[in-house]
Amino acid sequence: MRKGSKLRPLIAILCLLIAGVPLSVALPQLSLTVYTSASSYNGGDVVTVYGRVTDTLSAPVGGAQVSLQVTAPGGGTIHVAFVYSAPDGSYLLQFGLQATAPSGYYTAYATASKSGYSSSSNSTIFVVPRITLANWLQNGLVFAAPLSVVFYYPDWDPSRGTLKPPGVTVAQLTDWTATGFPYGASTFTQVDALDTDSVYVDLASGAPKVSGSSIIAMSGPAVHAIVHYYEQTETAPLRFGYDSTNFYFFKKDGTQKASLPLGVAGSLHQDVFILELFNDMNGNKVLIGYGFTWKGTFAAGVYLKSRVLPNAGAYVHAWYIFSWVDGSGGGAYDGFVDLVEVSGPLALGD
Amino acid sequence: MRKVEPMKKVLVLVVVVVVVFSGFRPSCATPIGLSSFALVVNASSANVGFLYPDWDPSRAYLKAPGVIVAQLSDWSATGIVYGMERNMPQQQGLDTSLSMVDTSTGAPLVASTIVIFSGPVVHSVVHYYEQNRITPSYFFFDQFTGTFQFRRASDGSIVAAMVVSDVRGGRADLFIVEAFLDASGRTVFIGYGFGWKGTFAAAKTLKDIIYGPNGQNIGLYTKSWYIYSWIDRNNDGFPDTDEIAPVSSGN
Repeated sequence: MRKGSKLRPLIAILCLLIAGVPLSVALPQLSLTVYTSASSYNGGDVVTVYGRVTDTLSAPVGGAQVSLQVTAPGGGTIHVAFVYSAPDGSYLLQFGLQATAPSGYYTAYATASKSGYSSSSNSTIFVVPRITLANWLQNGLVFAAPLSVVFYYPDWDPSRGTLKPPGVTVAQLTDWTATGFPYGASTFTQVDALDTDSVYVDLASGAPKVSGSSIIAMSGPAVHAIVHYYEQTETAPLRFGYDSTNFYFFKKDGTQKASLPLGVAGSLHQDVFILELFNDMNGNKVLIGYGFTWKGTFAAGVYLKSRVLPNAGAYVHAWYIFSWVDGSGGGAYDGFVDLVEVSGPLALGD
Repeated sequence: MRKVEPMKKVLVLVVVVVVVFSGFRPSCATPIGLSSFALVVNASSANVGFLYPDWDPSRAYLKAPGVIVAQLSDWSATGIVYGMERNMPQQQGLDTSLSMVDTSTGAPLVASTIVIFSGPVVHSVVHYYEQNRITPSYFFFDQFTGTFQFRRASDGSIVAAMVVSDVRGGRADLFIVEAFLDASGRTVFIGYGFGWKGTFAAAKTLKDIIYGPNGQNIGLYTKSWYIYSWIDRNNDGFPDTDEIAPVSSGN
């Protein structure tokens, strides 16, 4: 036998490796989303975990085993379960939190696996206890300790536009008026800063640099780095979207909750706005309000101050969507946001 | 009866002519202490009117003569002051609202206390009060010196001034916060700067310095008007409270 014949297979394998040719056939990769029915719960509440299993082409994958592991703030596992995805790829699991569930961040890890596919994992966070406008507004905003609330104004100055994260542009100053309403409502002196202030914002991502504070941002993600960050990272319960015909508000799972045709919003006589409250991963409690246009953002500020704060106990959920129609409810058709012209909520949730 | 000397007659005539042609009219307002703003914060629902300067060019014809439409930056301050109100809701409207303002003159029609955070160039009601020397002080653009000025309504003397280019540079401003009773007995609070940042700073100053936490400072502000300066010491273009300093005050 010739010496060279032994080396040939080895050389061939080396050539294949160098050429990047896989030696085994790659399995298609599963993908799954994982959400909880609310961003926060109280002890004793039932937590619903749900999502969807798809393949690399975003086609639904039924019959995939989805295993769930939920860990408590200290890291200990509090719940393990599995379920099979439905033909449309969806899955849903529920479990009850103990009445004495400790406060803090809980993580729900989900893994999807199915024969013939590479498995995939994802996770989401929820918080105990439950956070609502009703249980936060007074202590978190109105009577919050001095310097414990940070009001982030969206920078308007084109010369600092480069300090905004990608996808965020400079603001109109009307967004400052909306911020003024909660700023004025705070009893003590608080912190205010621009969303381009490197002391208070990670300029690369738009993430706030504060922790354990209340954060207020009254602007949309197109102009406000902080809001953009919270929506991009799916920390906020709601997010903005648009297509060629409409503006939208979606839940972070993609469910559409409100819409308005672009032309109607552009008339500046009608708008839809949100008020939402949530925990971020740095112990901050974050209040965001804005509309599709500046009129809606202004309305969010006025409504927060004039209707929500005086009746805070009635706002027992974390997020609300309202509508403003100029001239409705007996108001004048004058382009100005009168409280009687605000209706809703169109939708609410936690 | 003693005859008035001819020279004195001429002098009196000159003074009258100067006064008439300068547009100066004696104030018919009653200065009140800014400390009365505490009553505004605690006013019952619907007893305070917040008037925004209209921004919409399509409604420019509803502005009082000599007043132009506002930039939306002129709205930036009002939210802070409205936010200080303890009892909701209060009245809000535009300076072109036919139910709130006599749009031919800019005179307010609302019976309540009025709060305005905007200057006379863009706000019909502020323009009306200043033109008629009802406010304790008024805005003046001196083309000869290239300065924006606050002048005392009682005698036209300059109280504070800033070079126009400094204001337009966006790194400094002067602003006023003032209170008075108008001839109809309305309590009026006005605040504004030469530029929009001064107007924004005026609202912050009213909340965090003049009123203070839980209103602990407001009792100290017994004069009718207070003028402050803002200088952007940290060069971030944002009016921070520690960059604001008192300049002058009076009645």
